[in-house]
Amino acid sequence: MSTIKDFRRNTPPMTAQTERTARARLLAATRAPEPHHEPRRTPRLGRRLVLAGTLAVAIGAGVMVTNDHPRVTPVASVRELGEQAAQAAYDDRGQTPNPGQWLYIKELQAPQSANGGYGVDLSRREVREEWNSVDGLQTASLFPNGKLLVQGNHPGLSADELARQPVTPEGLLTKIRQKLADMHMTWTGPDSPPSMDERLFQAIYQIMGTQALPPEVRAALFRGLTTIPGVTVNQDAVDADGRHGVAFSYTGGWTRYDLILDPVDFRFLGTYGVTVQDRTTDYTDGPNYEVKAGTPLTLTALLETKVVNGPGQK
Amino acid sequence: MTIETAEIDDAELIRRSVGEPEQFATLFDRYARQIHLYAARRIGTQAADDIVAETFLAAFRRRDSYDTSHPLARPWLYGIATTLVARHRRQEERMLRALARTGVDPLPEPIADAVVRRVAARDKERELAGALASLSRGDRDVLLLVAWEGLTYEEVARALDIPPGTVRSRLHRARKKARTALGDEEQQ
Repeated sequence: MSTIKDFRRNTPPMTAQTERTARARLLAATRAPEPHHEPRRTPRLGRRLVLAGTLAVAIGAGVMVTNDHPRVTPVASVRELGEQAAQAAYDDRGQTPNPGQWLYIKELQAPQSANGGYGVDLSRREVREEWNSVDGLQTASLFPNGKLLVQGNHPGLSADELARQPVTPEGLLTKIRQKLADMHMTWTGPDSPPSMDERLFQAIYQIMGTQALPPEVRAALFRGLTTIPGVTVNQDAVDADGRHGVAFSYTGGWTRYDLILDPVDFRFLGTYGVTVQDRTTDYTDGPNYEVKAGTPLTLTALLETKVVNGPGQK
Repeated sequence: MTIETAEIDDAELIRRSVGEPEQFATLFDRYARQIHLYAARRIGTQAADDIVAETFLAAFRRRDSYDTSHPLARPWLYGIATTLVARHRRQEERMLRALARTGVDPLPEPIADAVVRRVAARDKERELAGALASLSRGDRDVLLLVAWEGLTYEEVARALDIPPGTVRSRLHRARKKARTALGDEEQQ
């Protein structure tokens, strides 16, 4: 059988960097608080419903926190945040959504500023509900009159498409980049159009906050985020429910957006967006005015998610 | 730590790691390179990068269930890695078939190596790739664990959690197919 023995004999050995990263992941796991449940005997290969951190159906129950004092170790860098979050992604416990089902999402958000003011009003909160099709293509919300509005979802990539093997951080970024490029978006107004890196961050931010993803996709997206130039870590971000978390952050042009994760188990908590520069609006149908740096654009907190059979159900 | 653990067998390390989790890292130092090479040889370096990390994380989480009557953890780790490789089965077979068809191995390589010119595969390799692609996953697992990694029948049985007799029959079937692909000269 000498030919089989020689087959692909020149496969390169593991690089030192891969070894360091893999070893660091293992060490992080050995230092993490031990879960109380029995170790799983079979590897979890099935697809599970999850939102960025862990299954959010149990939100508020502190599913992963088994110690009285969960250990919150500050992450030193965006790379470390990506690694820890990716590792935690494999620890989800979830249920498997079926094709054709929808993900019901209930979130708390700061409402639009009153009287046509720019951005959102941080002093108030409202509950918002939406439904996203498991195939990633549609999103639905309710009109005040109770009617359902179904629209296309951004960026329109299904979890299945993202989970197609092999799932790698670079492969996923390429897939999303391609999807964005295929949209041939055009931008008007005085601002320069957002860079591909910014759009990539926004797309991942959208996908992670609204879709049911298999753990390996989520892990790869977390790792992918760390490779996008300009993505940084915000050590103390606060969501609309007052929960403190750690965030992937991207500042592009005149805005900054945070993807906020639980600092212990890295489940998805919410989002925050804010202007970082003074800027004049460019409305074509009304008077323009100056928007000050520090104006909040969005503030949300995920409260509940649930798999349902159709939009409007909960 | 190196001096302390140099003489300790894997089973003892795993036993200790229940109380002192960080001891488990020594197991990584012993086997990570071979596990990576095995995975990379089957499905490419990129996927292997993830698999090596996931293998040891999965092993660590399951260390309570390790049967410490076996001093060597190598088959156990290969078993976990093989299960993870199975996720990439279609990709593995696609790449083997492409190699059989074109003579160029599309196995993804790390970027640094991408510039290295690939030598077109010899006819035999192409035929072998075709034969490997046509094996059932179970047969291919057994064949490669024996031929590449040098696992004994018993170790393969432990790794894949199948009876030794099944290892034998799978290997027989796989070798027969490979031989047919390679012609009689491989027969012995």
